[in-house]
This record gives sequence, structure tokens and C-alpha cells, in this order.
Amino acid sequence: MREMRRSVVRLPDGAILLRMTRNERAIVRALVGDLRTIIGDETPAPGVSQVADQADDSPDPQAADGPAAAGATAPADAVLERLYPDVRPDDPAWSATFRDLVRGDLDDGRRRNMAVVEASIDAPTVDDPQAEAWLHVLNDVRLVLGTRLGMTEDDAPFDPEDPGAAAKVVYAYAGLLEEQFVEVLADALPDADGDIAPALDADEGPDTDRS
Amino acid sequence: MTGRYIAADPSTVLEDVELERAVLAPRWIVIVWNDPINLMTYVTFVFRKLFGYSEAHAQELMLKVHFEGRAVVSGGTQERCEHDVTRLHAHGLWATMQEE
Repeated sequence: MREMRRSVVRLPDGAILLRMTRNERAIVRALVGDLRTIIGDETPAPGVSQVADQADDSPDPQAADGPAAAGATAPADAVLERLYPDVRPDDPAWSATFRDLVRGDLDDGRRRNMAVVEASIDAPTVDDPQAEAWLHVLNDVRLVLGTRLGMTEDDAPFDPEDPGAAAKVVYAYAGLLEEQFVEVLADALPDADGDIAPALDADEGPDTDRS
Repeated sequence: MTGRYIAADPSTVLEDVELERAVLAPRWIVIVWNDPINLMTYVTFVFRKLFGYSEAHAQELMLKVHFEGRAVVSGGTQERCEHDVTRLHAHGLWATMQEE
């Protein structure tokens, strides 16, 4: 029996060690590149690419009420729909206007995270903010891949003949890596204690592997 | 429930009219929906990080999302909920808001 080789390890000095091969890093780099093509270098102007017939470009979401915005719809593309979900499914017009308002900020955040990952892609260690960027990028990548692959919770048996087989392996790899970033970063979160945490947890130190 | 709006800033002196409006303000809730992609540990992490929930509470909410398909994760004024939903979207969670 062998202990699983962990790729993301908190070092005693607080830095986070990325024990990844060149090839693993190349995979992540390619995934970031793929994500970049979806997010783009610039957020499209409100209503241009994602919302059909958005008649009202007022910055106030409330202003979207009424017949003027009746033609607004959620993004047609499933990936964009997953990255920018309707905030109020009962009110698609309001949701479309709200999305136009916040999408630039969401994209800016995603671009910042991608830049951090690209800058540290070959680094032996990262700090916590960098690790968080890795975590978010990996999660975005999995949202995109998983949506494209039509992943469901009931895993179908792996079929090597499936044209999406390679992408599913990459998706699985990204998930394993992401899980390790979560574990390391979650251990560093303060526990808000109190109300609901069972007394059992009280004796556990921050290094305890909880799962 | 109504005290929630006023207690946020005890130093604020509200006119009667404003007080009434505060009391009558509709309460909004933020819902996170189950999805087949986000990792369970990641969802728990996001609840802890964004809302400061204890690990136990965050995990309870995550399991509710996972097994029941959805869970209410925060609530308050419309603006507050818009803020929370946007942060959840920035973290890739599938969140919506509605009037309670």
C-alpha cells in the first residue's frame, strides 16, 4: 500500500508546495488558455453577445421591468449560462439587466485569477492568495469542461471509445487537483465556532485532516 | 424578524415613516442549487469563506444542497442578497435570489 502522493502541500513555513510535474503544469496552462478564450480579454458590451433583443440598457435593474425588456433572454450558450446564471429565474428581464451590470466585474475577477495562475505556473511554491487564484481557475475550468461534457452526478462508466474520453480524464484530473487546493485552504480558514459545531471538534487542531 | 433591520445600526434614529418602511421591507433570500460539477468540499469552503459560517454549519448547508437540491444560505435586504448572489457566482456556485 502507498500513501497517495499529494500535489498541494502546506509547508511548515506556511508556503504551499506545488508538487506537480512539467506535464501537469502544461495541462493547467492549456486549461487556463482555454478558459481565456471563453472569458475573453474584454467583456462584451451589455446585451451584444449574450442577451438577445435586450431593449433596455438602463443601469438600473428595476428599470428592466415592463414591456421594453420583454424580449430579454438568458445566454443561449450553456457554458455562459453556467458562468453567469440568472439571478432571479422568475424575472428573466431583470436578470439580464443585472447580469449586464455585474458581468464586467465577474470577468475582471476571473482574468485576475488567470493572470496569477499563469504567472505562477512554474513556481515551486505559492502563497495563499495565489493558491486561491489556482482554486478559482480550476473551478471555472471544471465548470466549463463539465458543462460541455454534460457531466451528471451519476457517473456513467468510463468509455475509452467516447470521443470525450480525453476531456473527461482532464476533467477528473482538474477535480483531484482542485480538491487538494480546497483542503489546504480550508484548513487555514478560521472556524466561526459557536452555534452548531459539535463539541467533538473542539480538540482538533488546525492540522487535523477533517473530511 | 423586524428588529434585524434596525439593530444593524443602533445609532440611527429612524423617523416613524422610515421605521414602518423598514419593518415592511420585503425580506429576500439567497438560494444555492445543486449542480453536478462543484465539489462538495469546495461548496463547504465557499460558504465558510464568504459568510464566515462554522465548518459544521457550512457542511450542513452543503449537504442540504446536495441531498435536497437547494438550500437557503443567506437573506436580508434586496441589496444584500444581490451582493451575496454575485459573490457566489464569482465563486462558480449556482445561486439565485427571491422574495421570501
